[in-house]
Amino acid sequence: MKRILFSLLLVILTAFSKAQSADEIIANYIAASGGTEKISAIKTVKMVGSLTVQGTEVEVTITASHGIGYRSDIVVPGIGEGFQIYTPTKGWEYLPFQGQTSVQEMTEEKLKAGLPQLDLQGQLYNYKEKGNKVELLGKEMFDGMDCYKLKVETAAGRITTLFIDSKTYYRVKSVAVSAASGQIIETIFSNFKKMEDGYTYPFSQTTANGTIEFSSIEINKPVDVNLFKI
Amino acid sequence: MKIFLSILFIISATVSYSQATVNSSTFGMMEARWLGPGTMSGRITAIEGVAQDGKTIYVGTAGGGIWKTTNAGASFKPIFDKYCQSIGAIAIDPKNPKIIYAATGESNMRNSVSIGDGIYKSTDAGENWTKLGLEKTEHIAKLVINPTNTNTIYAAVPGPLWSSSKERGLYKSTDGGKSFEKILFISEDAGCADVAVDPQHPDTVYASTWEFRRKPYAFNSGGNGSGFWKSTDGGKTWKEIKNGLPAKPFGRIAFTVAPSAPQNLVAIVEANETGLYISADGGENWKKQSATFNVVSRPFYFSTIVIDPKDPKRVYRPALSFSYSSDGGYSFADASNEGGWVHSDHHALWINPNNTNQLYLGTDGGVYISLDKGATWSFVQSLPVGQFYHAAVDDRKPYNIYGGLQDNGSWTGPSAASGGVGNANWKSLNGGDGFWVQPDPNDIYTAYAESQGGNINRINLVNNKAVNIKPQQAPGDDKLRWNWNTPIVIGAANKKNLYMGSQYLYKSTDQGRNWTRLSPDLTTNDKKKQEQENSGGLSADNTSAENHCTIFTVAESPLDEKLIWAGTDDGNLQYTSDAGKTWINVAANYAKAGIPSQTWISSIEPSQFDKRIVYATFDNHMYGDHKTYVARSIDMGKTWTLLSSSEFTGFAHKIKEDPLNKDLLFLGTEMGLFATLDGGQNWFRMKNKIPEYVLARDIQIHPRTHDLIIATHGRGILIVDDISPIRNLKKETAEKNVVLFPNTPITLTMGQFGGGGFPSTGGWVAPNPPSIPPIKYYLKDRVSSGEVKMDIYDPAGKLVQSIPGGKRKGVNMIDWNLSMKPPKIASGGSKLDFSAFLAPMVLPGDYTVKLKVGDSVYTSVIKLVHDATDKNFTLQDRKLQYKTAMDIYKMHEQLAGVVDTINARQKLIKDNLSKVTDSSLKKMMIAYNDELEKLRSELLATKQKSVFADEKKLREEITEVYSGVTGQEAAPSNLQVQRVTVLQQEVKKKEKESQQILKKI
Repeated sequence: MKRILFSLLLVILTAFSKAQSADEIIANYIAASGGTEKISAIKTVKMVGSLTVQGTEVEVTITASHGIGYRSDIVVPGIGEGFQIYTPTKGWEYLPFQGQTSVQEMTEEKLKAGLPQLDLQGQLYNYKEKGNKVELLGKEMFDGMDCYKLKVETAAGRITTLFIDSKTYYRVKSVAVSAASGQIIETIFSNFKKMEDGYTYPFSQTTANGTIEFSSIEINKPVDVNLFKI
Repeated sequence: MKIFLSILFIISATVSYSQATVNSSTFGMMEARWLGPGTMSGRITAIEGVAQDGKTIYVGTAGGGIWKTTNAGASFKPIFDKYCQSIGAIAIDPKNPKIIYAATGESNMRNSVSIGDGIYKSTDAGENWTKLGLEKTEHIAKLVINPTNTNTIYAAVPGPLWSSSKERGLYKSTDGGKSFEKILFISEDAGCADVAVDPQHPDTVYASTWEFRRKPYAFNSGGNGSGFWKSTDGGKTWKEIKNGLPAKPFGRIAFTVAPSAPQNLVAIVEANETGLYISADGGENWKKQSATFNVVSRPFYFSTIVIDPKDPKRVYRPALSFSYSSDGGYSFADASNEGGWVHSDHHALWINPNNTNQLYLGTDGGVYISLDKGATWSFVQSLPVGQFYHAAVDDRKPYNIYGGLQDNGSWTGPSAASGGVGNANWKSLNGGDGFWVQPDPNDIYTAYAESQGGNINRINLVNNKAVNIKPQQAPGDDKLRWNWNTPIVIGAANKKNLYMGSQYLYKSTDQGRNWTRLSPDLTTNDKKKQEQENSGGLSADNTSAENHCTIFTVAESPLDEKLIWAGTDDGNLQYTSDAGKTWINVAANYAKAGIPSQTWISSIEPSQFDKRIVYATFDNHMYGDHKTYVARSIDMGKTWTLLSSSEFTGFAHKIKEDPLNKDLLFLGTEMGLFATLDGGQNWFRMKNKIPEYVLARDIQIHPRTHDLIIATHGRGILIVDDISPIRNLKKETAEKNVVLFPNTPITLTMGQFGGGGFPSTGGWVAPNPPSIPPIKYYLKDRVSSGEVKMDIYDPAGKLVQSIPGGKRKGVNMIDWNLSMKPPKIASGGSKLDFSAFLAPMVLPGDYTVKLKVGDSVYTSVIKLVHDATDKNFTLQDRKLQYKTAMDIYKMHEQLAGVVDTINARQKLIKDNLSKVTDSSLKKMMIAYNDELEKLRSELLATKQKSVFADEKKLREEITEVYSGVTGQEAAPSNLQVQRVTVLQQEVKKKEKESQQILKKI
């Protein structure tokens, strides 16, 4: 009996004291997002949502094809309709709310900063093969959640700090420095839903500009590649 | 089996306990506003810039952490808010500027200097930090990196100021800071004050050692442990530098090596005859040079001397003022004040190595930038790192904050202002070092402020004239002893009482025109602690900063003006319950609770709920003990209970009891702000945009607004607006998943503070508190799955607004602008039209709030009321405004309907045109489309290509009157009302036209 108790105690203590490595955390994160098989199979994503400002809805549509293109369309009532397109080699934008009167080609810097969005599997999945470096910075409380802090540096040198909730293994926050402005961009993810096809996605994204609530997220539905052209 | 059960019990107890914990995340969205100001900043201790770009600069402060600019100083952000706020030195890896080292614990060893907890490293330009070690060194003066092998780092450690220590000395790391080895150690009483590496021969290292010690009542700079050293083997062996230097003993030695000609050195050697010395042979031989008063002034405090990176003859001496030499230190000139006064007392200088005209100077009052090699300077107004000692508030609307700052006088500023609280909103009241400032609660035109040593003035707030009202020594009294930071206190029970303490307590009831001595000497009157004239060591220094055996804190019971408490800097804690006739010393009683004797009684808080209850904080750091001592007595000081927590860090400055909830206490220490909701059993560290190790010197809770006001010694004033949700959070409430807090009636308004006209043109601008009280709710945990939304229904049950809500753990706030949903407006125009974001304000009444969290709904009612006192906007005016606004609102929606139909028809044509092969049909379709387009172009602007080319069509005409009527707190004018009728006819007309065109096909 004593022996059983002792080994039980040992198991409990180990469970309490065992620190996870970055790779274990990433494995748990991938599992929480749908699993390796599912994540590796992501080819397209379409997300439709809106950002509400005192009752007025700004519509946001994101359409992306893995490694091929990423497009976000924004409709601001009374102000206009705009979009941003990123492809591996070129990008364009038309943002009338920022005073643009015609479609403009993106600067190389801006395009480079937006390119991680083409990786629909996320920077953590297969990160070594992608040439990304990951460092576990330790744990930090965020909004009552005990989070693992992972620093990810992409092959292109872009650094993002990710907060992974140690309970759910959801990525609940990301922090990056804007290459263009040098300002810190913090994005908070919430409203995680496990979808019928097995993927778990955050249906809310909050930045300093407000919260986008997505009403639908579709994975691997056909996407017209012409959307990524001008 | 029993063991098994008890293990299970421990585990389950741990789990259930953590679920019920109230901590800083309970505050949720209740985050601190950083009021600043930036008009007087704080002491700057280190400045380092990135040579590669010349515009990324790190600024270390005495008590406000590290601030980073990436735009050469146009704006700054704090990057060290999770760690110790006292910064001693910063170093940037010259080969990889993303690697930054930060040494905590500044070494400008004045009486109020704060300690550090080691060296930190960042590998991503300050985003994330890791502590490397040297935790117990307390003070680190300099970090130097070997430019050839940047994994080699030297750290000059003067070490603890108030006690002997083995931690002192010069340390070296050869592995990028992973480990440090002590390579020069003199004694437990003499540390290392400065270090430099010869950039061309990096194994040549120079260091100065310094014997220095403070006591609460004196300090000594100088002794046999002070010396000047050279090593040519990277610190393995050392040789003392002597030739040409004055006779020992030395005090502090500041020196520098000319980067471009490193055989040249200059040094300021504190000795019996402090002087400036120059060496041209790598420190082997020295020559004394004549120096100005500024160059050799106050060596213990001014330890910076810098040589231009390219020009070995250009020497800079930032000290009391700014001196520079163009001839290698033979002669000096002083900076001009043409660009504005340059704050005195300088501690840091960075010269851009690629543009040596560009200099950044750190002073006791902030950062200055020069573009002409230090001849003239401009002030950086955007660093809110002021070092307050105390703060007080008045009851005006918005209320004002008053406070005194280290080396920056006494100031007052509003808690809110049009466009935000900017530097210009602050007003200087008094000079010198500032400490206590009290607004007179019975006279809105008067405040009391002081400079060091009890020099109190009564200040007329209208014309800023001052009258000195310092109590004077009366016949038969001992010579008066005033603390550096002399208490000035207004009675909590009787607000006519003004108190001030030397070793005696004084009271005035006529604004300081007449004073009555209320007490005998309340201190220990230990003569050995009163020899300040001998303070300073080699350089005499007696500025009242070491005055001792004085009263340091005074508090009148809020329940009885005759019950007055007084605490001294030498351990006495006394009270009178008969307005000063008799005094009882309870010092021996608190000592029984484990609090050392001789501590400074840093604050006393008589309870507002029970006369017998009193709280106090005890500061023993001047005896080398940095522990947190805070205690409560429930029997008039007979017995004391030490309140303790594993969370506590830093010696205690202030304990504050909430005026309404007796179990809510706040504690400010040298390293953090803490709170308890259960009367001191469990404490948590306050975060929520409060730096985690903030130097929290004073705490106030505004009686009307319920704001928590924190006077920090390094981050200016911080305000957490309206803490009532936390105050009212009972344990059982905290355990509920969701709580929608009841709202007090809200006055209908578009905002209290006005727009402010033009935006700020720079400097620090603090945001205002919410202009309209937000709707608040509590979430036990962060909502990770499911939406949070708030629907608002008018008294008739109609949905008027729907707003997404925050999901944070703790208190969340939804800002509702008291307006309905904006109208749908005609789409597809080429001109920006903001009507889609503008809606009429709702009418007074009871509105139902439905908070949806996931699948659950929580309901409450908010009463919206009209401000009956506003004669410029009566209820009748409001109703007319609402009706008119709604008429135009409907007009916008009517027009949107017409345009939608046209848009749909045009889309149909566009989609099918290519499919049509018949050319006449095609022609007809194009003609029809043109007809539609002609009408569309009359309904809204379709041609405008630039915001500067004004095109006004029907939608824009409607918008002009809509924004006029809706956006004002006034009745519409006669012409606005008339205009509505005209536009209604126009819309009707266009609607008919469109119907006729649509009918055609």
